[in-house]
Formats: sequence, C-alpha cells, structure tokens
Amino acid sequence: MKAIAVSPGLAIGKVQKILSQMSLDHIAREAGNSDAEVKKLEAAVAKSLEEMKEIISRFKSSGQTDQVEIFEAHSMMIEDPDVIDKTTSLIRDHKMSAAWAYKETSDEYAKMLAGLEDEYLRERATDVQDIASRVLDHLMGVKRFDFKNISKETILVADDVSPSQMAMLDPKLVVGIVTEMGGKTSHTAIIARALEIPAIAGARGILALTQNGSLILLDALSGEIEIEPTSDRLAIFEKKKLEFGESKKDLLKFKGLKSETKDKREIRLAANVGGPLDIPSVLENDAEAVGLYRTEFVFLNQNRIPSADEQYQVYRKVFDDLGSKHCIIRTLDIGGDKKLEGLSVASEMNPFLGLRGVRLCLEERRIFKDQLKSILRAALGHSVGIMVPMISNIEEIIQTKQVLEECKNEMDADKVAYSRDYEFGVMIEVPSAAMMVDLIARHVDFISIGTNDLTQYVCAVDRLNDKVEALYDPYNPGFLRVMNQILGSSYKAKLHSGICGSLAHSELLVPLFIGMGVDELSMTSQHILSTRKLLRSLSHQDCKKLVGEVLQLETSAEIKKCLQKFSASIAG
Amino acid sequence: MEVKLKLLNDEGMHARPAGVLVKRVGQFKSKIELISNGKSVNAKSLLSIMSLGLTAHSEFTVKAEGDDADAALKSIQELVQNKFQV
Repeated sequence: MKAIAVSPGLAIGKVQKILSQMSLDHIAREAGNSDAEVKKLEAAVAKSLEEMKEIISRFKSSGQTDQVEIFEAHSMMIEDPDVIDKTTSLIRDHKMSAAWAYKETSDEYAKMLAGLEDEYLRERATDVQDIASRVLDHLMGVKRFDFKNISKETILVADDVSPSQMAMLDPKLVVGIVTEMGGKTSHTAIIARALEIPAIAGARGILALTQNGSLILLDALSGEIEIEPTSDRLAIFEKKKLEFGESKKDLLKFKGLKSETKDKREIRLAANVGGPLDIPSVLENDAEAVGLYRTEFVFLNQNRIPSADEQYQVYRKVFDDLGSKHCIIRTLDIGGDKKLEGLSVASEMNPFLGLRGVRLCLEERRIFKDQLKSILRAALGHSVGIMVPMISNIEEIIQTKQVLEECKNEMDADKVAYSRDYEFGVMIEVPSAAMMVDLIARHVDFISIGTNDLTQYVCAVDRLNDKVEALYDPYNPGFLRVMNQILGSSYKAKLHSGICGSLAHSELLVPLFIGMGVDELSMTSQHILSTRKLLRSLSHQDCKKLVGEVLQLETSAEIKKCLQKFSASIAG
Repeated sequence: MEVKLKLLNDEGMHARPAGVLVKRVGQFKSKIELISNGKSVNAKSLLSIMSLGLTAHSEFTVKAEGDDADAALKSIQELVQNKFQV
C-alpha cells in the first residue's frame, strides 16, 4: 500500500502495534469516597510530573531545545491550578470519580482552545489531550505502553503516536513508524524527522492489515509499505536499503562544497519548501537558498483565509530560520481545481486554463494585498524575492507592481515597517510568457521556470488524465526547445533564471539545462547533495555541446538515449 | 488595582510567553487575574491564560489584589514590555 512519506528513509522491521488509549466508556462516573478520589488525583498528577521531569532532562542532555519547550509546557499544564481546582470541586460537589472529573475538565479546556481563532493556540488542544491521557492512565492504573521493553528492529504501527509517546522512543530500537492518521505537519512527523526515524503517515487500514510480529518494509522515500514480503522482495529491499545508507554517507562529503561545474560555472542550488517545518531539512542538506516557498499551505491547511498577522508570523518564521539565506516566496497559487473556503470561485470547464494564480489574485485584490503586505513586513532585514505565478502577459506584471506600490503607500501611511529592498520576479510556466522572456526581463529581477505546468501547457496534456498521460513528456523536442528559448533569452538579458519544477534534479536533464544557461536549480531538500555531486562532475563547455546535439534530434526516445549516453560518459 | 497592557511580541499569548508569565505571577502572593473581552481568568493558570486567545498586539487588563499587588503589577508590566524575555 502507499501513503504519505513524512520522514525519509528505508526500514525493515517487525510490527509492534500501539493501540489507541483505552476508551473511557467504562469509567465509573460516581465515587463514594471523595477524599480518596482527591488523593488519587494528587498522586496521579505527581506521578505524571515526575515522568515529565525525566523526559525533559533526557531532551536537555541531548540539546533538543524544541522538545524541551514542548514538554515544559506540558508540565505546566499538568500542574495547572485551575484544572486541579476544577477537577477537585467536581469530585467533591458532584461525587464524581477522579478519572471522570479529570476527563470532563480537560475536555472543557481542549474544547476552549480548539474554538480559538489563533491557529497555534487551537493546535494546543492536542497537547491538553496528551497530558490528560497521561494523568488518566495513572488514575486508572493502566500501564502505559512500555517503550523501554521494545524489541530490536521494531516498526511501530498506530492510529497516531502522541508527542509524549514519541518522546519515549528509542531510535536504536524503533526503526520505523506507520500511522493511520496524520500528515507531514503532524507532531509525529516532526519528531520522527528530528530523531531520523523513517515514518509514513495517513496509511488507512494498516492496523487491520498487520499483526504484531508481521514483517514489513517501509520505503519512506516513496511512501510504499510492503507487508510480509517474499524472500526475493526482501533481498531486493535489503540491497536498496544498504545502497541508500551508503549513498547517504557518500553524499555527506558534498556538504559545504561549492555548487559549481568543473570549469567553475556556479549554480545556485536551492530548496522548495512549504513552510517553517521544512527549514531544518534545508539547512541540514546545505541548500544555498530557498528557490520556491509555496505559500498555499498557510491557506489550504486551514481551509480559510488566514489574517495578515497570521501570515506575517508564518513567513517571518521561515525567513528568520533561514538566517542570511535568500528566499524566493511565491504569492498565492490557487484557483480552479484548488478551492478555498471563504473564496467562492465559479466552477470552470478547464480549471488549468482558468482563474488561477495571479489572475485570481488580481481579481481578489484584498487577499492579494494582505499577502503582499505580510510578505513585505516579514522580509524586513532578510534577503527575499517575491515571485508571481501564472504570468501570461506584461500587463499582469505591471498591474502586480502597481498593487505592490499601493501596499507600500498604505503601509507608509500606517507607519508600518517593511522591507524596501527585495527582488521581484515571475514564474515562467505559460507558453506566451516563455516566448517573451526578453521583454519580461525589462520588468523583473529574476524568473523561475515551473516545469510541471510548462510541460503540461506546451504539450497540451492534462497531467491528471491517464488516457493522455504518456504525452506528458519532458523529453519532447518541442518542450526542450521552449526551455532553450527561455534560458537562452534570460542568459542574454543577464536575468537570473531558475528552475523550480521536478525536473530541477533530473539526473538526465540537469546537464542539458546547465548547457542552456540556467543559474539556479530548486528542488526538495533531500535532492540537493546528489545534485551538487552531479554538478561537480560536469563541464559547462561539454553541456553546451550537448545542447547543440540534443536540439537536432527528432524524437524523445532519441533524446533520452543521447542524454543517457552523456550521463554514462561522465559517470565512467 | 489594575493596569492595562498591550502584547508587544509578534506571536501573541502562546505557550512560551504564557509560561513565562505564569512563573512570574507565581512569585507573588496576591490574587492576580487577566481580563480580556469581559472574560477574567486566574493568571496562575497556563491553560486559562491561553484560553483567552490573546493574539499579537491585543490589549488586556491585569488585576491584582493583595499585599504585594503593587509590586506584582509592576513586575508583570515590565515583563510584557520586554516581550517576555527574561
């Protein structure tokens, strides 16, 4: 089965299920002896606090300050006087059992937080549930799953793993994690990445499909899970895992090295990110910049339009965490197929040719301005490029720049501090824009090619329609000529050009793009070091020759063959 | 006695600043309350403070009653003005 890879790596191990917390259905509501119940509560709170102390000191000694902060907050929630007072009075006044009263009180606080406007505070409801289940376990004498007695090479399978459960994990024993719930931004995912445990989330049905002790293979690069593999499959996977480990080690040598060809043409290797959670990986993999910060997640995660302040905080965090690294932030790219609550867009026959990207933003000025202002405010003191998607003519560029000026004037009037020192650029993904990069160059500081959409528009293929999928072909000579046209024009105009689609780390195509004159390649962080390795084995002169050769070929099969030959020649 | 304050930190009353505040309030004997939007909560409770949902730059009132109320308010005011940096 396939689900979402949330912490990269490969793992082979035996399933150990952690079942979700016991249901509270069979807690008795009433209790006769209130004094005894209050004593129980005090003991459970004290026990839980002791455990927290142990967890915190463990994280402190390993220098994981983020984790320390999470669990210090948990400690304060456990000893919160209001929670304890409220629970105590429920026990005394309503003759409730300690467990029932505690559950009722903690639920009330979780609900209160969940109803707040601030997204961060809303998420803290999960933390309240987490501390509550810890205290409740003690109240009910349930033995918590003992993470210390776990056997070697275990893959945990669960509905979800709570932060405090994650904190008890020993990465030497737990080699992988699969959860039914969650996604890239869940706590489980964040901690799994920090502990470097391969993890897959959103694997619906995995609990039913496995038993304790089942052998499973986790490919947390692609999200593929194999249950009870044949010995052949196991052997193949073991080899793959070994190779992955070795190549990972080999690639570490490329950290800190320059991204340049043998004949010293420097290329900026940048990362694609979706928010603050991706930044540690950017730094870890030694990317030189962020070439594409997709802002859609701030909007889509909440399925509503976030306030300017909320946006500001998220953008600011990304810029701050990147330190002095340059960051290209793309303005909202939704519309058509991606819907957003609070923004009614009429359904369209051809959403990919419809009201999306900058077209939608120019219609919805208020949303656009809120975002631009948030970006400009957050960019103060940082090196930032603002990039606009779906540009198909010069007028859209001019209008966007006018909106930017309006934003600045309004912020000046409101005495709001913002960055005046930013770069402005556009995405090249529509054929009309691709054909006039020389004209666009007069209006912008940089361009970045979105190869996924560009391929789709140039070849007139709907990527999502499996009947024509095969025609979606980045080796199509026509498409490569368009790429050459874009990169050639920008090179001539001395315009900084980047590629931020999935072709940016293609082993076969990168030499071609280098030859065409690209300045920047932007990709998921995990591909940075392998691309740097490739880059350092190339010569710009040879790549230029390769372009001349490829552009004479008629079919994508011939082109692929030619590129494979080139690739083999540098490897050999 | 009470004092009106405004949050100056960019994040609003998140767990960290709220935690710092609770610790500071805990140093005083007075009964101390935070008031916002007509809701008044015990300033010694992290969860109650967070449940006010104070966002960046929002205003709130701190009320203190007791022998060290004066010192408590001064100390809290200073903390808020320093954006909860201690």
